[in-house]
Amino acid sequence: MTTARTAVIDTHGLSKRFGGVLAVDQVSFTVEPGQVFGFLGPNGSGKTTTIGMLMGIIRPTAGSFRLFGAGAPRELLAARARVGATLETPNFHPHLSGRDNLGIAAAIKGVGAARIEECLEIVGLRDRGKHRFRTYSLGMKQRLALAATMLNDPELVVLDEPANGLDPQGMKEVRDIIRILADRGKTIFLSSHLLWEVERMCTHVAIVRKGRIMASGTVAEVVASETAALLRADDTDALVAALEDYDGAISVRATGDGVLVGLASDDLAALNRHLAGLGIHLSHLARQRRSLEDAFMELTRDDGAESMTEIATGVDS
Amino acid sequence: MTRLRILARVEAIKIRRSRSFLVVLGLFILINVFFTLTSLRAAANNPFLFALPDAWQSILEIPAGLGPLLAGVLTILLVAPEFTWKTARQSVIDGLGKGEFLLGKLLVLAAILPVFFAIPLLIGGGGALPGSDAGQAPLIRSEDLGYMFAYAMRLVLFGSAALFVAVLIRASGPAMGVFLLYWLLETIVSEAIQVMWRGAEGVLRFLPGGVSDTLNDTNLHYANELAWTNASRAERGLGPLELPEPWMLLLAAALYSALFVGLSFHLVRRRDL
Repeated sequence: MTTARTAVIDTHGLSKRFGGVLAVDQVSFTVEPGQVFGFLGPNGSGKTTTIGMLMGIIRPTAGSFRLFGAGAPRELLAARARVGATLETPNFHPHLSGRDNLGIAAAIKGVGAARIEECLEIVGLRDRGKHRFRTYSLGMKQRLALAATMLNDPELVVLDEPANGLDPQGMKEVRDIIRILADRGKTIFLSSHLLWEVERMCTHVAIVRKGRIMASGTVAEVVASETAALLRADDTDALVAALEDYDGAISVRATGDGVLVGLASDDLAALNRHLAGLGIHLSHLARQRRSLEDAFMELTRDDGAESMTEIATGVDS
Repeated sequence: MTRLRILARVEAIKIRRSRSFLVVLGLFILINVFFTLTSLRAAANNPFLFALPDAWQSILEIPAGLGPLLAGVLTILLVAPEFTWKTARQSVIDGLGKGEFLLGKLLVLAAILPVFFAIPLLIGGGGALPGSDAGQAPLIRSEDLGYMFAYAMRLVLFGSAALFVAVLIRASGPAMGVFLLYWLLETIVSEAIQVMWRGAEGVLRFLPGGVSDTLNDTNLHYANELAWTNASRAERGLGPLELPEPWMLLLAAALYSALFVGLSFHLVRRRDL
């Protein structure tokens, strides 16, 4: 006999409208215990709004969600005691020291002073704990936010763009801390627009675009949901035009190495016949292992060049 | 009770190192010290000019008159930044209910308003005490107590109004501007209406600013002051000053305060953080 495990997060048709803008549109996903779940999308795709609804700071316009099986407002308040979360930029009192800021969070979460020191130690801020928050570098602020999320030893850690604005060293430090938490069996919900960050750390992923979930599942499932092939021919422009007219092509992208095409089926022979029929003879045709970036680019391709640049480079605007 | 203790602890950490708290409170203390020293200097040759119980009237009218305004400013400085720094939202994420967050701010009010109440009484009253002759008359008369109670209600009225404005505007600079501008505008508009319609005075006294101003009017609390004012008005061919009963104004102040606090809870619960 098996016992069904209660999902840590379970959303159904969650929507949020700000005036005329539908920021989150019918979002449904489930996060199971122990998963490192990446919530991936360009800036402005509704990631933070979705997390805000889960954390009780934004009222959903429609839909419902459960945290640890709790759905009623009073139950949710209790369920949130099992969560450690930080949204967008680290939110602390600038005039207070890191230690005092953690003292506020600790008082709310009902944990003692010893735990504050432990968490400062974990994130490497013990020596700077007495200094005012406003004097911290961005990396230190992010690490203090991580310390705050860990105070109550939460079962679910929700991190919204934890590597935002960090230098490579800072990113590595944050990644190491997340890995430590994952190794301890915590469920981690990580919102990010950094593809490689999600691909390296997450077991599961949901790709969100314009408030809608475009794909979700394990990272391998999302990456392998389509067949991709790399093609080369003498006339690249003619090849791209022919592929764009091909019914089986889901996406077409010229790269420095050739033309990458996402296909609805893995029948590469049919594709080759189609192109030969148009007088395009390929010098190269090879099945490609898609990266999460490829999947992401295809699923979010209408979001505009600016977002794409941010995604590709990992630079936050 | 435990939740209240948690909220009190959280707010204590925030206030303890708040520069705004120290600056505004320090300013109010300085104003009261300055007033007391000036009064003592003026009464150097005749200590009875600044002696209890008569000194309460001037202590409560002048330095304490500024207390509610400064308490309101401090309330805004302690509440509004929680929205701009997004620490209000973090508190809710960390486990506070939205209502609990505001309850914490009511505890802040409950902590700072008694301080604002005590400062003029301790500094002004303390300064006037040496010149007083406790054997001749009581140091505090019933009308002084009434005036003190009116001062306390004005503090509550301004504090709750400031809380509402801070929650409504959610940024300290604009909130302070709106808060200060309201009292000024109400005075200007009331004056303008009274020019056109003399009978409006009785109604206008029950606007928030009117309630506060009338509660701070010495004529409301001291019969000798009212008699002097009426004599002066009679010389100018005016009828006696018509003032509402103090209890009516105190009730209005309490109702406005309850309304402002209720609206603040409503806003915090309804809005996204």
